[in-house]
Parts: sequence; structure tokens; C-alpha cells
Amino acid sequence: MHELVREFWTRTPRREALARLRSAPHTTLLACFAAGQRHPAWVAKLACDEPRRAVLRREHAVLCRLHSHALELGAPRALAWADSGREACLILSGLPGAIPPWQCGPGRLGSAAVRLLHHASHWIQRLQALVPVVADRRQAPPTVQHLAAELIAERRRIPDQWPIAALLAAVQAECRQPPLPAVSCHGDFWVGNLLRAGRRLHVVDWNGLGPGSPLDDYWLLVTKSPPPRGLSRWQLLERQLFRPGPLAHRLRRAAPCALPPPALRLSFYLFLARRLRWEAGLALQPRTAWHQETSRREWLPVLQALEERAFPPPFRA
Amino acid sequence: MAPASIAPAVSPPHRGGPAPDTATARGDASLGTGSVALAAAPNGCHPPSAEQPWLELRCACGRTLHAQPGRDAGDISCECGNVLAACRHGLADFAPAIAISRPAPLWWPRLMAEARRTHWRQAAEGCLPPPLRDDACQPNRAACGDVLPLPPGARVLVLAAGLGGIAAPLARQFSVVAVEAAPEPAAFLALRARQDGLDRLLVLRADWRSLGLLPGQFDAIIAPSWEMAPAAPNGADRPRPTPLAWLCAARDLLAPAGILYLAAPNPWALRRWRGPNHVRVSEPPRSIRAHSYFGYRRLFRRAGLRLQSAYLCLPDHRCPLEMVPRHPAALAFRARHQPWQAHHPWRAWLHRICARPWLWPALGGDFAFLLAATPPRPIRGAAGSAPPPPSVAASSHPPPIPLGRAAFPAPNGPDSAA
Repeated sequence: MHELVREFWTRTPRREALARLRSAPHTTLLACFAAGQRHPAWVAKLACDEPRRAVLRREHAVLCRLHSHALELGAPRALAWADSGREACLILSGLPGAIPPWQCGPGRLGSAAVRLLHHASHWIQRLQALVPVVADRRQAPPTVQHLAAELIAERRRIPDQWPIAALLAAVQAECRQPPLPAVSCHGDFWVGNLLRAGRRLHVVDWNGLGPGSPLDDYWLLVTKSPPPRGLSRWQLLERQLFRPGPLAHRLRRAAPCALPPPALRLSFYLFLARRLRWEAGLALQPRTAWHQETSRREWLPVLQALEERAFPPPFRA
Repeated sequence: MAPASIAPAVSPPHRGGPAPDTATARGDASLGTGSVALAAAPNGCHPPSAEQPWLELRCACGRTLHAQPGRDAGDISCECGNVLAACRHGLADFAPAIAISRPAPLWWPRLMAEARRTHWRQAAEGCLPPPLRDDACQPNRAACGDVLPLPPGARVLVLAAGLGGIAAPLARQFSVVAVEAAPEPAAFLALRARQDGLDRLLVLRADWRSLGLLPGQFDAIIAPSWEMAPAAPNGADRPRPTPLAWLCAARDLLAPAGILYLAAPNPWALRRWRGPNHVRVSEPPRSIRAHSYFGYRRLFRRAGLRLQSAYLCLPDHRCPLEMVPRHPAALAFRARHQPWQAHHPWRAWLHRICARPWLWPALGGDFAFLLAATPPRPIRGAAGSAPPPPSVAASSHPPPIPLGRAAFPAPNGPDSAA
């Protein structure tokens, strides 16, 4: 047991059980349960290799920054932090709630998913209002065009197995639009990181907080759900975003903000390029070779289909 | 978990009072404060240090030895001339008399040669069959280290250490004595310790019950695959002990407030609930009465052990990714926080309904138990009182010390109440 975990375990009043949950090769999640509580009193994240320690370090920094807004945003509080150089440990407050249902069928959205979209949309607006974007090494506040330029500049790092040159060209073409201010984005806002307790939405895994377009979190929530049986990733994405119908209509109405079609196009394809960079293992979170290969097989047909259609803007109808 | 009640990084040599006849003649202060000069070790071993693990043994002549076999130490021998173990290449070989009738697999020589030439991990990944490769290299093998409330430097005994999947990771935090009866895995583990620079890992090739270990000297004992030890014949020539005798022998080695960690399979667990990564190991048919949660609990009670916590190991007890305590809130929390449930609401609902402490231990997965020795109960009367738990080394017991519940608490849980 890590020294910090042991100290917290000793200090927790009416402690009853310590669970080891959701462990990855070099990361472990421990949850401490106290008597009479349905959610954990605290949660400890442990990492013992350098990439994952960097992820934890980043999450700790973000949560320290969000400390004053933790209640409004439903974010955990960072209770303690230790990095011995070999192992890092971050202790967070426990959050109530459960992962909400998210059923996105081929032609419709379940009622629970509609409610979740509604809550999520409000939450995204709250995050953008409460947390300003940090302008690092740049005097002017960053814009979405700046982010696109940064991504295009590092295109050489993206391996050849990911043919995203055409996608980046489409992003570059939209950069001539009037500047679109960047806002704070959670960065990993998918349904597995959400906990709904009644009407409140709690969000975990804050290591990806950073600047992005106003719809980045919304795009991730919509596109990260696995396609239903019998549908490919592209077929689901087409029904969600590119084909007129009740599903696309519902998703368009639930978006946290309305953007003109060129900005919508820039926002979506910039999100897609950053997402593929993440799938390729070039972002902060490490990806295994197996995950990279699986994602590549899933997303290549999407890229080809979009390229054939000349990268249409979403919600065109 | 109070630090005061845990053995310090360097434990006093005699917990149960001074031993009357010691071969190395060291005072208590020689280990603790260093105010007394260390006596020269007549048995050829290094003087005890804070880093390297040590053993308290009893020779057949009745003398007590404090052995600290180091990397390049000589044999461990008593003043009476009895050689207890030969120390070669970081391995203390206590068991020249044990005959393992099962022949070593054909890939052992290749594995050892490759490990000596390159590195143990490279050799294991190249030469070992998949289940054994996981046993040796998978970091989740040492998952118990995350839930054991031990201070750094605590003395841990790992039984049936095998290829070191548990002992080696634990040796980065604790002072570990790893016991393995088979010669080939013991040699591999010693090589692994040498290559990784694990100074706090002591590898013994021995049958731990015939070692002559003095009682009450370990803060934790870990039996990662307990079902293999007592009941199943594995080719050794001597008969195996019953589970009850095995548990009593292990209990006697525990220090006051020490912990015994046992992992055991649940042959009745549903494959679907275990998860996709479960490796099916062929198991003999077992009785539901003995090999269920309640059967194990009954056995522990008979052996004089108190169940502090019971865990569900998922997908299996050999290499657990998750260890969920048998606690209503923990089970419900785990059932509510599976990301796949977002897309399968009916299955999620069923999953939550089934996450009950009375159902999951029966069908959910394998078991891991944290046990503590109960103090001997006074005999109130001849009729109607339970007999004291059996002991294999009653004469060499330390005086009964009240167990500090604060030392290793998981105090108010349903298991401890039971």
C-alpha cells in the first residue's frame, strides 16, 4: 500500500473497505468506503511509469486550479498528492452518482440520452463560463484558428498509418474564417467519465482540460459511443451528423451553442483531427499498440468516406 | 495500522522474550539501536542490516539462529555443526532432502540460459508459456500489495513464490522472504532478484513447514494460490497437510497484529461475471460446502483466524485486475461504474440488482481473504465451550499479546462482525 494511501486510510473515520478497481498495467484506482455511505469517501489514483505519472501530475494541477469551482462543476477535489519519482499518488474526494445510460440507436436517441444531452449541454456552458482559457506564452487569448495552426504545424509527428493530410487541409481551408475564440474544454467528456446523481452531473478524469472549440466536448460525447450492432462507425456518424433525420435534428437542438456552418465545419474537423492524434498515441494519455491498431481500423473508413464527400459541414440540413 | 504496533523496518530479534540459547548471541539492542556492537556471525552469514531480510530459525538441536543470508554468504549452520542451508548465488537452499518427483519442463534449461545471458524478463517473455508468463511478468499479480495496510519495511513471507510475480514487486516496499519448494523456479527467482537489484528479497528453496521458522516473526504472510498448497498433490513425495493444519502452521508464524493473505478460487463463479480476461484453469470438482465463501469462513474460524476482509478477485485470483471487498457499498459502486453499462441499460440494471453481498461471493469471482490471528479464548467450562484452536508449535508460542484492532483495521465490516 502506498504511504499516502495508508495515511489516508488510517485517518478516515468509520472506514470499512478498500477496493482496488479498474486497474491498467501501470495505473491503479483505489476507493475507500466508510460506514453508511454509498459512494467512496475518497479515491486514490496510482501511477508507476513516467507517461502515466505525467497524466496524474497534469490532473493534479488542473484540479488545484479548479478548486474554487469544484462544487459548481461537480469535479472532485484534490486532497493529497505525492510523487516519489518512481510512483505518483493522487487522492481525490469521492463523488456520488452512477454512469448514466446513453443509447444512441441507428435512427433515434433514447429518452435517457436526451436527458443526458440536456444536462451535458448545460454543464459545458457552465464550464466555459467559469474557467477561463489559460493563455500560455501568448499575449492574446487563443483562438480556434491558433489551435488548428498548432496541429497543422506538428503534422509530421503523426505516423503514416494515419492518412489525415486531407483532413488537415480541410481544417486549414476553414482557418481563413473570422477568429473563433477558444474556450475551456474538459477534453475527455465521454459518458464513462460522467456520473449522474439526480439532476446533478459529476465529471471525473480532468487531465485533458485545455483550450478547444466551444463544441469539442459535445462532439466527443456524441461520437465516442460505440456503434450499435450491424452499423459501422461511419454509418452511425452519418446518421448522427450528416444525414437529415430525427437523430441529427435532436442532436443539433441539444448542442450547447449555435455556430455558422463554416465555424461548425472548422470546429468538427479540428476536433476529429485532434481525436485521431489522440488515438495515434501522440497526446498526453499513452495508448497501447493494440488500441492504436483497433482505432485505426475503425476510423480509416470514416476518413475515406468524409474525403469522398469533400468534408461536409455537420448538420447541413 | 498504528505504526507503533507494527514491526519496525528492523524488528527485534525475539518478540516473545529472549531466547535462552542463541547461536549468534546478539542482544536486542544490537539490531534496534546499534549501541551494542554486532557479534561476528559464526555461521558465516553477514551481520544483520536494516535492508536485508533475516530469519529466525530453530535448529534440530534446539538452538535459535538469526540468519541473514546475503548475496555471497556461506552456508547457514548451527554451532552444533548442523548445516541448515547452502547459500549459492542469492538462493538459500534448505531442502536438499525434498524430492520432487515431477520432472522439470523441457523449456527450463533454455529459460535459465536465456535469463543469464540477457535478462529474466526478456527470457520469460520469450520462453515461458502464456499462463506462466503472466505469473512472472504481469504487474497485477502483486495486487494484494495495494490493499495490505503494511508500513514500508514490514516483514513479509511469500509462500509458494513461484517465479516471483508477487515477491519481487513487494520487495520494493517490504522486506520479503520468498519460499519456493521446486528448485527451478527458486533459481529463477534468485536470478531475478539479483538482476533487479532487490536487496530486500530473500529466496529460500524449502518446504516452509519443515524450515524450523520461529513463530511470530512475520507481519504478513501471503499465500497467492492457497488451493495448490494444502490439498492438491503436485508431485512431491511427502503427503500434503490438510487445510486446517496448513492454516494453523501459517498462523503461528504471524507476529502480533500480523495479517495472513489467502487467495483461493471459486469454482462456482460465473464466467460472464468474472469478465473477459479470465483464464480458465482446469480444476478438480470441489464440494460446494467446503469451497464456498461460507465454507472458507468456517475453516478459518476453526483455525483460530479472524476474517478481517474478504475480496472478490476479478477476473481470477491468480492475476486480479480488480479486488472488490465484500461490502454492499463497494459492490454497488463497482456495479454502477462499468462504462459498458451506458449502452446496455437492461444488462446494467440486472448487474446492479445482482451486486449484493450474499449473491456475489457465491457466483461473482474468486476470493481473497485478509485474516488475523484471534487471541486464544479462555476455557470457561468443560461442557459447551469451544476448544482452543489447534497449534502446531504450541511449545514455542510467544506469550499471548492482545491483537491491536487499530493496527490493521477493516473493523466494522460485515466480515469482521461474522
